[in-house]
Amino acid sequence: MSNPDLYGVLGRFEHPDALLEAIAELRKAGHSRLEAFSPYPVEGLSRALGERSRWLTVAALVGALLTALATYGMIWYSAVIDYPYVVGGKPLHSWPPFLLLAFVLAILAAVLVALVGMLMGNRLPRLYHPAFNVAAFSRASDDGFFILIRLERNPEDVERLRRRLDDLHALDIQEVPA
Amino acid sequence: MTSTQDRLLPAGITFASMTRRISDLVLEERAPLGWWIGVVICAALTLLLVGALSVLFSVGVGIFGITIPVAWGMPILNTVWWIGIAHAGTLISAVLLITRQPWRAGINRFAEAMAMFAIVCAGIYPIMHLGRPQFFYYLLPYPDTMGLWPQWRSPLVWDFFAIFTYLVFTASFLYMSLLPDLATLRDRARGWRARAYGILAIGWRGSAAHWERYEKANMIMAALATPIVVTVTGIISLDLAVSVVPGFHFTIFPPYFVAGALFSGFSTVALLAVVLRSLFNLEDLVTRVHLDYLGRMMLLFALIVAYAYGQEIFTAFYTGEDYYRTVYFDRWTGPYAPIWWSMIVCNVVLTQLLWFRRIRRSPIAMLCLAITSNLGMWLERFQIVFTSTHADYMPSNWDTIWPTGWDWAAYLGSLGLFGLLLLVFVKLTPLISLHDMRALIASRQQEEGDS
Repeated sequence: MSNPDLYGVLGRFEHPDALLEAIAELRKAGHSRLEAFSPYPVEGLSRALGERSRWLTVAALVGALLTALATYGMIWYSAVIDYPYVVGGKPLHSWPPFLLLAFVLAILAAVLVALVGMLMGNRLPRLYHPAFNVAAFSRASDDGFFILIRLERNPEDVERLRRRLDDLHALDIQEVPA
Repeated sequence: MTSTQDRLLPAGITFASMTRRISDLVLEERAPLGWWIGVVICAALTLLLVGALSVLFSVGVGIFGITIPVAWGMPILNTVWWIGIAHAGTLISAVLLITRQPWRAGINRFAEAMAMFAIVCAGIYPIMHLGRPQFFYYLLPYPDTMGLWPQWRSPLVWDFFAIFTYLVFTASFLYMSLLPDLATLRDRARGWRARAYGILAIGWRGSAAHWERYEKANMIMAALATPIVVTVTGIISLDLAVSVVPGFHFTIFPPYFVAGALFSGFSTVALLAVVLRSLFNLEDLVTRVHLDYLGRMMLLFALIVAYAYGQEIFTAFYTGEDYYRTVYFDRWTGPYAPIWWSMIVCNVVLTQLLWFRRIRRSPIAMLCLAITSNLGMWLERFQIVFTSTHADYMPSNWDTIWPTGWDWAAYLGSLGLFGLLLLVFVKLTPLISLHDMRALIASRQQEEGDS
């Protein structure tokens, strides 16, 4: 029987290619509850895990367009309807400068959507994570490439997972307390 | 390609050795003497800025040399100058990221920090120049009791939104770039510093899903950087160009200002590269190859700036308007002529030295050229702001105005503030982007494996 307070089993690899191979093997063997950690973005890692996400670019674009429309609408309302005031003989609806402001604020919105979307998608800020309980995990921000196999809800044979990681030549194999 | 990267990286560098070396600069090693000297000087100058601001806000803008007809004077000239410096930091980071240039990794961190602090310095001046700084929020569309709205056709309102957007962008981009490195510091520090960096790193773990969204957000921001840079300086140039003042009213102003901004910005990155690499002994990570590339960028934008000078002169004479021609004769022979000619020496003559590879690769030569280029760009902004307005259509309006001691105090003070923020920043965070450097090391290992 496994310990109910166990989050998963962690193994370290020296090289990103070994990490990618191990993930492919584990997925072939039917493990789906995998997490991988690397100190820099490794090409193809999220594809290997099957967790691509594409919505951020679309969200930024939509945010930018909506903000542009809202800005233009606000300026048009204030300059034409609510506070009509002729300056320098220019028409009330002076669209070139209005477009400029709509463009600038659209960029502002896209920047904020990208930053906030990245943080929210990644569930950050979140200061605690079970992996931080393992001392060796500090190498994930230095030179270590890690795989974490999360345990299923039903009791699982931890020894079997350890052996499997060992077969894949993982180092520092450790149980991660929840 | 391999040969270029080999020269960008020291031989035998590994992830672990690079991480240790750069993070130890923050966590373990004592700051070098030069750093302390710099901090003391910059802190003293920052105090000068605080003093100048205190006097300014209690006495009023009359202490500055911004008397009619030169209503803008040094505050606006300094805003334009500082914003220009900020631009190259943004572009280096973003454009080199999109084009996947390997020489980005050594210099992007302090280039981004430079952008951030230059915007802070730029942002102070418009507030100073307002006269009644407590009312700056009139620029915002808020439901005020007087039923007023901002004047949307005014470039000063565009300025406010553009600079604000740029500030938010730069801060976001800098924090994004810092986030994984803060996690590295959290994992290596002990005690209260581990906790402080832990809070700043907000739980970054470098999981595959993290990096996936991180890279996506980074690319979005990088793609936005170019329009931002062009828009911000373009809008600032419109402050001048949409008026009918003879020295301001040129359609070439937006691209001309952007090129000038990038010229001074790349010069400042080169300046910081030379200073920081010798201060922290990083000659093998911020290499002569980096200086070479920076030198080429300086040369490119110096040539565009020179072309803009020529184009502006051509336009002034081609219009056939007396007033435009008079402005130019005045620039060449009038009371501000030394400024114009010094500008030409700094920006057009001296920069030709950058054609030579030996000059671009010499740290001391690059340092000198970076200083003269920034000086030249400052003089350029000076001649645009001062010579155009001091003698416009009505001879009865003409006057010659010079900056006062308070102008100089505020200017020197902002230099000090910039230096202070930058020096403190490089001691609190990794001076070289660790995760970008790891990606560069990994791509080199890949190539070595393939060959």
